[in-house]
Amino acid sequence: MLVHLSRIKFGAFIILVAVLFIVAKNEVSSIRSVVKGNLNAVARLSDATRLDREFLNFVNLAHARYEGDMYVKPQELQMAFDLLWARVNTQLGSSYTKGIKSLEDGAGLIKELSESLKEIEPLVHNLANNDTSDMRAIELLDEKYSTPVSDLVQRAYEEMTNRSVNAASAQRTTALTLERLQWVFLLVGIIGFLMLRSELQGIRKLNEELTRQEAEIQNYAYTDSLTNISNRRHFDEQMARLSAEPVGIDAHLLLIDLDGFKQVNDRHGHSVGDELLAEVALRLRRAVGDANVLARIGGDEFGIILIAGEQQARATAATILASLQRPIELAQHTVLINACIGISGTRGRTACTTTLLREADTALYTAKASGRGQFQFYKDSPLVDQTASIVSFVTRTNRKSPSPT
Amino acid sequence: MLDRLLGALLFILLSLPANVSHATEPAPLFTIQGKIASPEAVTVTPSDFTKLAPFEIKTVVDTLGSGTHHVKGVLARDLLKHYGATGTVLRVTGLDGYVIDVPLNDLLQYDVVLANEIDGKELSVRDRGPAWLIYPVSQHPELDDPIYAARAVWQVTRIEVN
Repeated sequence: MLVHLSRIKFGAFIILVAVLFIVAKNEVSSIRSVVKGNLNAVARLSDATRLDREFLNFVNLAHARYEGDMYVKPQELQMAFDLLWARVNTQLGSSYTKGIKSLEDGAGLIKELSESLKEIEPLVHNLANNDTSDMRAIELLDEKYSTPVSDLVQRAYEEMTNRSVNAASAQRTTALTLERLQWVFLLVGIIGFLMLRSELQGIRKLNEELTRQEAEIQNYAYTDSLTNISNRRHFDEQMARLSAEPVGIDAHLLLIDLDGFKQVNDRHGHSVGDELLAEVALRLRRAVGDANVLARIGGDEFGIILIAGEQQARATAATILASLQRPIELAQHTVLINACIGISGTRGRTACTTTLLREADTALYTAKASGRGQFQFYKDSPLVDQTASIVSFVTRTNRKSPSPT
Repeated sequence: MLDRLLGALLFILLSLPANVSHATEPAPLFTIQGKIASPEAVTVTPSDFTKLAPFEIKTVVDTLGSGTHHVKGVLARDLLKHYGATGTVLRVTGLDGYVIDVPLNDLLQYDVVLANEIDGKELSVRDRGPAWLIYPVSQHPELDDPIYAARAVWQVTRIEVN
């Protein structure tokens, strides 16, 4: 019964939406046709105005030529006539709804004008060639048409003005209707929303549960339970992801080794050592920020993947060292420790996990060798040259080795 | 492409002696200027049209009475490409002083023709030539619209690429 009722409701809802949609569409298309009609009226006014101007231009030039004004060149007169000819015959050929023909008396006037132009055509030719023997037809053209043509412009102008007024009011009405429809649509939307809400809520709850469970399992698998930062597994996965990135990504690997952790552990016991590690992790997190990967990758060894350039890596390392050098207050003890940092960068290469780790490790070794509380970039490490020379030595010996053949 | 090029070359070679003997410049169609390869306005003549692939279309033409017409000329986009046009809007001017902006997009989207011949007759000023921008209205009914009718400039005398 319930299902049946909701089906009827749903059907009614769909029909209501469909009807509203059709009404809205009709309103919009009626606006469009009003605007189109308006455009046609503008075109008519433009045509009538141009006809008027071109007619006067030709008549004036013909007069001037007749009066002996030799500044009016034959080509100029001919061009004026041709333009008028084109205008009139264009209007003759245009469809009824578009051109001047649709204006009151427009069609008859255009037809007559077209005939008259054909009649005076030979005269224009004569006039261009300075034969002014019979100009009566051109005089008559002026007498016959100049007033009707300018009246035509007036009518086109009036039509245009009326249309503008009508169109403006029509558009206002339609805009009002649409505005009202907007609210009806909103109402329909609310009904629809209420009908679907319980189902949507069910789905949302399921989704929330799914998200929560996913987060929990991720957290469990990727977090170091002692320090609440990433564990070795997460670190390794993130390193692998970095290796998959295209060449050119600017990233730095920071390996941090605590100095004095072992002593704290030995003197105060494991629980104090654990407390110390948790506090160190907090300080590291503050120095590194949430966006970068911070992991505990060994007993007292931490790793940071910094998606940043050398300058920021240097700044971060300095911040870390400064923060770790401050006394650490634990529940029952205040301890002092220190750390060394080894840094390797992608430097425009494709990040290779093993290379980055090896280089950072070498740099860390150098840092430790030069004393406590130091950071060292692999590229600046004095051991680099040594390694490089070993490599080149190996390459050289390989080359010098005799070939099997 | 190559045969078209050779054809054009052959045509130029053949037409050269004729031009020399008559010693008359062909009547210009219109000028093209603005954002084109040449820093100055270029005068386009009917013989320039023959350097481009001819284009013909059968379509109704607004104000040319009912029925379809054989419209012949070149594709407007071909012509613009030929002169290295780089703009987005064409300011097209007619002999009667009519001016309108035509979006370059129209010419890319539709086969708009710069026509100099309709129904086998070369267009004079009276026929609204010597060049007429004609939209393929029969092929695309949506072009039967006051907006496009206004852009179909006849008696084209100047094209300014902006």
